[in-house]
Amino acid sequence: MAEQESAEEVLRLARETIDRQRQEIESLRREQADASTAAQLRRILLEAGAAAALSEPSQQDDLLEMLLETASAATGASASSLLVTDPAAGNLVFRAATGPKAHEIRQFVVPLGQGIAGFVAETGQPMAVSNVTEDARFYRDIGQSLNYIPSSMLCVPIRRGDDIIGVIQLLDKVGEDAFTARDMEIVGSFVRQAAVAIEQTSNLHDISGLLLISLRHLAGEGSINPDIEQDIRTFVQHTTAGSTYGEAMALAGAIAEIGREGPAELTLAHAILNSFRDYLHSRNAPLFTMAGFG
Amino acid sequence: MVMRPAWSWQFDEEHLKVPVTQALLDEITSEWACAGSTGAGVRVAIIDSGVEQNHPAVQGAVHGWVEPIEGPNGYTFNEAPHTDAYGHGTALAGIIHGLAPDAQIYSVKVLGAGLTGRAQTLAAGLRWAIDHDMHVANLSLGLTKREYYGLFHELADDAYFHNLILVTAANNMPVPTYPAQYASVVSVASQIDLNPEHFAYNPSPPVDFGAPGINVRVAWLQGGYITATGNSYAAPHMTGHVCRVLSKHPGLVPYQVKTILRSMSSNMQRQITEDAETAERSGIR
Repeated sequence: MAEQESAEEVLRLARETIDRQRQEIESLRREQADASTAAQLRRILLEAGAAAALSEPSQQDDLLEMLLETASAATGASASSLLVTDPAAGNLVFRAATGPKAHEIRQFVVPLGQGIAGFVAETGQPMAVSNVTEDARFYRDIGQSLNYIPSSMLCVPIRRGDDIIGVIQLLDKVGEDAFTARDMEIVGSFVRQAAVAIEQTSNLHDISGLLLISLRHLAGEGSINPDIEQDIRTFVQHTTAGSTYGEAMALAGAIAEIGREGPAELTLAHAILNSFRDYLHSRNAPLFTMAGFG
Repeated sequence: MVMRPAWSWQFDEEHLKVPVTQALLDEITSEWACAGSTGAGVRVAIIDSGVEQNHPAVQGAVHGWVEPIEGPNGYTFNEAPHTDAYGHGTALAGIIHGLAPDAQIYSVKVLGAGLTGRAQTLAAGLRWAIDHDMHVANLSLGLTKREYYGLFHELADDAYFHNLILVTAANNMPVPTYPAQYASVVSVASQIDLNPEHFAYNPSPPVDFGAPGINVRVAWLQGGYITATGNSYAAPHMTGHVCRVLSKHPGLVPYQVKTILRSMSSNMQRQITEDAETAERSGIR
């Protein structure tokens, strides 16, 4: 009797130990994944921030594209586009696109007052559609020229205050027939930031800050894919905690100012920084390479 | 994974609140309310993007056309037949015509002109419906700007006092929309059940009813169909039911119609049956 009990006891303890170890391994794996994702995201943010700080206002489109890429990734869309209203011309104009036909689609405009995008732009109501191949006009005309006709679509308005200034379209959710309510919420957060990005002209510092705000916003919303949410939380934590981010932004800003003086000035600034960097390298050379030390 | 527009979670199985039954009122059955009715004699305005008259789902059911045109001295009304700018209006007409094939549809076109003058145009369209003795109007659109609250509340009250039943769609995002938010209208959001004969009653407004609005196959442009999700498509289901009820019982006022719809709803019917069974089991008759 006692032997049997003790055998059972041993088995139970063994199982507990295995479970505990399995959990530890899992959490270590997650930490590692988090850390590498966080590192990746941090690198992207720094590059984006630097690019924005050094570039022309038209590079906002790159930022819009990045927002669109992230929105696509978060919702599993195969392709996406961001259109901005041009009320004077009565059109919606493509400002950013992702997916297989991203380059070609920019040649088109969508007249206001037509199509699903036009409907969403006018009513401000998001629209989710599957079996889009059955919709006439826009998707047949443009879709056929591109040889890409989507089958599922989510179209969400971009508001700036009370005005609708554009729409985001997500196409062909991978592995599903249609986009979900959660996808609509995710895109909802991005459109708010996209609206600000569209309006920005020359305040370049704000763009990188904007990306950070949009990520913080997402981290705060709590209504997105928990994996992505956790990645973003970790990323925001690490990035804003680090002093190098702020310094990098300040530096990028200073270089942007110099760059505005002209290309020659920018080249000179670059040369000065390189010289300074080389000096620091030489200054930090380890002492034991000097002759006389073993 | 189901795409569900805002305000629709209330119609999920686990969230649908138990309605309180009301003896005499609960003796109203769907049978009494609308059995055999095809909506004959009822004038229904679809205030939207226009309607494609010869779409197979519409079958020429549009009796009249109106397009409010903004002018220097206010609005004039163009009564020539018009087309559907988007397909949306045709989708709504297809649903209403499917449920009430003999109802007389009036297409009031307030969408499709781009981004200008929307609130005033919608107000003009609603004004037209009130002034031209429509029995019921479907508004699968609305406004979110608070500054329009007063204007549309006044119009909704006016419609109510003229016995014009306003059936409105709740916003697809979790924000209020006018006139859907007001107490006097029949406001509708989406339920998962696709059966057009089924709708659910919500004892905690502002949304009154849930009707099919998720992955609904609807008429669209150029004779086509799409599968769409939105509270827009739930509202015309209720509009169709209202047409049937009004046709069978002419002269009903809005609060009577709402009471009847409430008794007809599937969760109410379920509760009535359960209450009756419980009463029978415990010997109370």
